[in-house]
Amino acid sequence: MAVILIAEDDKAINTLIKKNLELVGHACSSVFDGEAVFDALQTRSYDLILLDIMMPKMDGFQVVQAVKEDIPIIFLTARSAVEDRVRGLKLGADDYIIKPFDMLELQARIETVLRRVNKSEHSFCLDDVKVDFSSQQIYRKDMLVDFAPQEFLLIEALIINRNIALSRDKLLTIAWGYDYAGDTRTVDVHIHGIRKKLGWENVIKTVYKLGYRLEVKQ
Amino acid sequence: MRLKTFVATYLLFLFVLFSSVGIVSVHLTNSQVNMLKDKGAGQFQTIAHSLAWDIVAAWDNGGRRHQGDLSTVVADLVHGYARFYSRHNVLLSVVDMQLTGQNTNARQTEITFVESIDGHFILISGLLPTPHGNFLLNYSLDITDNIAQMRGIQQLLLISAAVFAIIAAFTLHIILSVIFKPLVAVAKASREIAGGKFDERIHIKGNNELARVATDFNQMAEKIEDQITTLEEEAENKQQFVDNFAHEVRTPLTSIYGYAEYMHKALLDEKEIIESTAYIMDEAQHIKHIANSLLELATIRNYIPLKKEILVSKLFDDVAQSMENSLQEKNVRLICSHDVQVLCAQEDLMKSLLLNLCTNALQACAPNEGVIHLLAKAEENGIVLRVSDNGCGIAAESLPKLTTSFYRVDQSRNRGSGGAGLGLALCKQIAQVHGAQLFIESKLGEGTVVKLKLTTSE
Repeated sequence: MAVILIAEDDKAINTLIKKNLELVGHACSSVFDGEAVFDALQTRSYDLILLDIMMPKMDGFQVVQAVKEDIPIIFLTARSAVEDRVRGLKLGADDYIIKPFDMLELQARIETVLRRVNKSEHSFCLDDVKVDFSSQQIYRKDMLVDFAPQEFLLIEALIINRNIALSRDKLLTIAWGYDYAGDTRTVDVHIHGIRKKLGWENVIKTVYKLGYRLEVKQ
Repeated sequence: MRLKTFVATYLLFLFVLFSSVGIVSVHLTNSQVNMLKDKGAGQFQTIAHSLAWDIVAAWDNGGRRHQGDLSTVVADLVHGYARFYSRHNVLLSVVDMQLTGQNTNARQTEITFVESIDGHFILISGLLPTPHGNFLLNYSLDITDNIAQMRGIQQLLLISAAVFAIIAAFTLHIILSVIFKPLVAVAKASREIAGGKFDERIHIKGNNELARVATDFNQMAEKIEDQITTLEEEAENKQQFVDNFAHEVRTPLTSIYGYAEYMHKALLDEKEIIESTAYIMDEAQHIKHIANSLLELATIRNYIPLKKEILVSKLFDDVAQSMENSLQEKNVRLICSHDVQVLCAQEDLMKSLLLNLCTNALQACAPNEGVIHLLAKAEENGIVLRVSDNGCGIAAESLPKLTTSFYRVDQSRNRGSGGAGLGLALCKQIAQVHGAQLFIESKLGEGTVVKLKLTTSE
């Protein structure tokens, strides 16, 4: 769980990002112009800043140059020109996401940056289950549970994107790779196995016509 | 070109110079030799006559008496003469033709110029006058010194010609440089322009052909520069338009897609569902608004308005009524006044134009202290509609771009502070189809005045 600052002047988009990030367990603050970023930085420390470029008072490029704290920054902007992207990355941004963005893509990119600065989760606990990401081990009632590598990847994906439904195709790609020719029913079989092993029958929900979602109360 | 001119002119110069030097020296030599020949001939005559006279005197008065030999007498006399003339570089000898047995009748005096290893000589041989016509006098004038002197003069001529040639080369070089300077300038300027430096100009004074070429060239450069600037500006505007359009469309699309995806994948309660769908609907409305504005712009472009006489008071009332809510919200006053009763226009278009201008004015005004004046008055050749506010004003550099589609003064394009940037573009179109002109004047911090000049001449 990371603390993330969202600087975006469009209220709808700002709220949307906030909702999305809170779903997977991040804590978020919203600001709506460039100058407010610095006020927010005064009040608490952040693990990541999501920054729009076209904002009132101070644009994103100016903000990046003026931020003194060592905080990873991801640009989130409608400006898709290559020069803008290069400029943003050259100014020291960690990533550059172009609107309209995909929810899962946003989560994945944030996760990558957080992992790079070692701010990502190391473990996840739910009831009597503990998942250790660094050692890739899962305990239930403090007893080590045995898992196939694919099953662990599935669990990891579901936890990182908790409260978000992941399609069977997506899960198949995550656990078996793009070139896997298997059926999406393989996913069903493995999910069934995971549910049984961890007693997660009510935690991993089947979403109609879509796939699976790991539901955790926020 | 310059080198060719230099070489050609210089070769011509060298040819003329050295051929004249050659002709002069040959002529000088010839005349000198002729002069010496004449001198020799004169001396020869003198010697011949005085010798003949002396022979007669010596022979008749003493020779015969002394029973001497005529040849001896002559030899003695010649010896004396020769001794005297040797000081004048002259050698003399006499030959008795009777002894050699040669025919003396047809003998003429011969003058020859001889050039030998020993030097240059003028040789004259001729018979003495009667009665001793059988004696042939040989006269030789040594002119080696004269010829050497001539050679000296020739050398001097040649050296001075060479010196002149060198001086001429330098002078020619300088003259050509001066003449070719404007051409070099033209060449340089055209190279620069070809290389993309379009602000390059040539400066040539005077009124000659080259100055005219330079003037034409400068005009050409100016035109190219203008066109390039226009093209660059157009390209920039186009890019700006595309960027702005992309932003205007992408922002609502991001929201729509984002919220839809959110609803699709996350578990929502009823409150969240309503919030999310509200956002989706709002953003869809915004896109619809842009689409409508664009459509309106496109339609109006080739539109012929149905002009009718409309009452200004009614037009202003309608505008005021439409604006009422938003005016109250911000507590801004709208003051309408008019000294014309009717104007000729299409009512709904004119209303749309005024509403757009008033909305912009309201946007610029500060809450509670803003005042917007809506005014219609008659001017020299038409009616002027004027919308003025005491709001924040517009920066001078933004003024020319205001009527460009999707242009927004607010670089961040925040939707809270305005629309998509199509309002003034639409106003300009409406003005155009009415044959009217739109003028915008503004000062930062003082407010903005927009004037619409409607001509009544039609």
